[in-house]
Amino acid sequence: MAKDKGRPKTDMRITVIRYHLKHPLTPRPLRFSRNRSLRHWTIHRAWRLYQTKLRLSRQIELERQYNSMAAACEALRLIDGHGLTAEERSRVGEPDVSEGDKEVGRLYRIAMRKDDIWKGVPIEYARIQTDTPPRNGWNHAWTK
Amino acid sequence: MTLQRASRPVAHCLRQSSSTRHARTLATTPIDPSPPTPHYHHHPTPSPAPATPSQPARPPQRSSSLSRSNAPLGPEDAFQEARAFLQEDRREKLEAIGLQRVKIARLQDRVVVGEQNGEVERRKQREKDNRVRSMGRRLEEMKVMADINDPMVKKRFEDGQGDMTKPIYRHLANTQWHSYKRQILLQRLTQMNVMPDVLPALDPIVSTGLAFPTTSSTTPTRSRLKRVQHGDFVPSALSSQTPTLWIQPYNKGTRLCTVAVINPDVPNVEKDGFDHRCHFLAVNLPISPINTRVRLGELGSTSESKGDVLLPWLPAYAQKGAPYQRMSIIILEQPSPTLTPIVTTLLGAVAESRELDVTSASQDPRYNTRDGFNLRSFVDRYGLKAVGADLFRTKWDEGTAGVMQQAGIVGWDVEFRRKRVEPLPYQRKASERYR
Repeated sequence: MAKDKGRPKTDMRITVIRYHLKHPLTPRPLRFSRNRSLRHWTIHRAWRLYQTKLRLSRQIELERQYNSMAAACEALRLIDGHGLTAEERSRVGEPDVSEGDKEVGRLYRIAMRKDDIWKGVPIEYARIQTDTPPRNGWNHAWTK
Repeated sequence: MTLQRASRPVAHCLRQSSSTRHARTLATTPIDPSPPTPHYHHHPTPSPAPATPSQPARPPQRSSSLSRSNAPLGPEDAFQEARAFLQEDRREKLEAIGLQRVKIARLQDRVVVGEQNGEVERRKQREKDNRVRSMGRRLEEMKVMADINDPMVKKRFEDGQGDMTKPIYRHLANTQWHSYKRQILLQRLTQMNVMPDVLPALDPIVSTGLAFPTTSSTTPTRSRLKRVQHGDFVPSALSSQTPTLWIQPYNKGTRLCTVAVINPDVPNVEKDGFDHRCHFLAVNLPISPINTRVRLGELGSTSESKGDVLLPWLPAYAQKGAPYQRMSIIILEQPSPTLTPIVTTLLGAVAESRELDVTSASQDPRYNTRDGFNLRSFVDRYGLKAVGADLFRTKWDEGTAGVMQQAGIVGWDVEFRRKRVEPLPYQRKASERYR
């Protein structure tokens, strides 16, 4: 240890990089010609563009579903026990003052309740329908 | 076996390209099945079917639908698929560009209605202008996005054959400049304190290049240009010649520029500080993305060069004993007259610049003298906008005296010496503790 101190200490990062580059199991670096590297670049650009389009289309689909649900909830909020909105009630000619407060949007308020919906377990814990089964199977040890 | 396997993609490429023209390994337009023209081939082409028994049989030309053959797919097929996908995407983008153009035209046709010269009408006009401007910017972005995935465009740009009239090549050149050279320029300008000294703020939009002609004794007419990097020290013999400046803008259109070369380090012994001196001033230089070279020596003299020189080139010099002096070259864009056609400015092109009145500028006592030239005052007077800069430095060397004598500058034999500063009286403290 005493005579080691004279030499300058090599950075451990250099050692680690050299180890990983020269390891026999590391694949050798690819060297492409000009045209080959341009083709590689094109394939990469096309793949990334495709993935972006896929992601955006999924996002738009989700947004569309969300907006549709929100529109449905909004329509439900304005409907009373007979299925009429305030405007339709006035058109039909029924008196709406007494019914206005409690009946209008009753089902909406019931739908928006998030307590004790599913025998004590909130609806957010439900599993969404998927195309393929999960990677991890059923979790027998799950608790609330 | 490994050699054969390694040569398989090459052989496959050759076989594919043999039935098409030889130069089209990277074709982005459909390869037509007409027989190849003779002058493209420099060597006898291999036949489409594999003739050598050592090479395993492979389907010669794979079509774009991959489901037909069961042979393993290679990167060439991925490339063809990628090409097809990108072509489809480009077609969609071109449609979107056409639609955007229609939208802009429709918006511009709409007339703003309000009270005559009322507040509402002005606000609505401003809102309409803002919308047209944003839509124009979006249109330029879409034009770049349509071509940015094209490998031929990338290849052409990397080979230096990009057409600067097209927005995609301008965009690629701008990105390349921003990634390294502009950062270097800003570093040099900031470290040399050009920003607060010469101008309060400077955001380079145009890239600059500087070169001085070296006059060789044998051929005085044909002189080679020596390139100077930003912030380099330039020997006085070199900087005595009038340089060539390259100004590359990245937005379309021709604009008129002013070039001013300012030396903010002229020593002034009486005030114990430094003065500014203007070594060169030229106005009304037409600069465009394809017309970038400005030979500062030939401005105004020959008929083809359009520009007016207010102060001709004075060689850069620093007297002996003085510290090195910074020579900053500032490129300023001349403003447009107030009543420009809005179409050009709002859709991304540069506006028509107004010509600077040379006679009034040359008679103005503030701007026709070199010593004490105030660039900030010049910029404010004519409403100029700083778009680019370059920098080089001079110090005293053996040739400076000769250069100053040749240029007829007073003070070629002046030598600066540091003023001796009398030290403060030192009071020896009593005990050993203060030694």
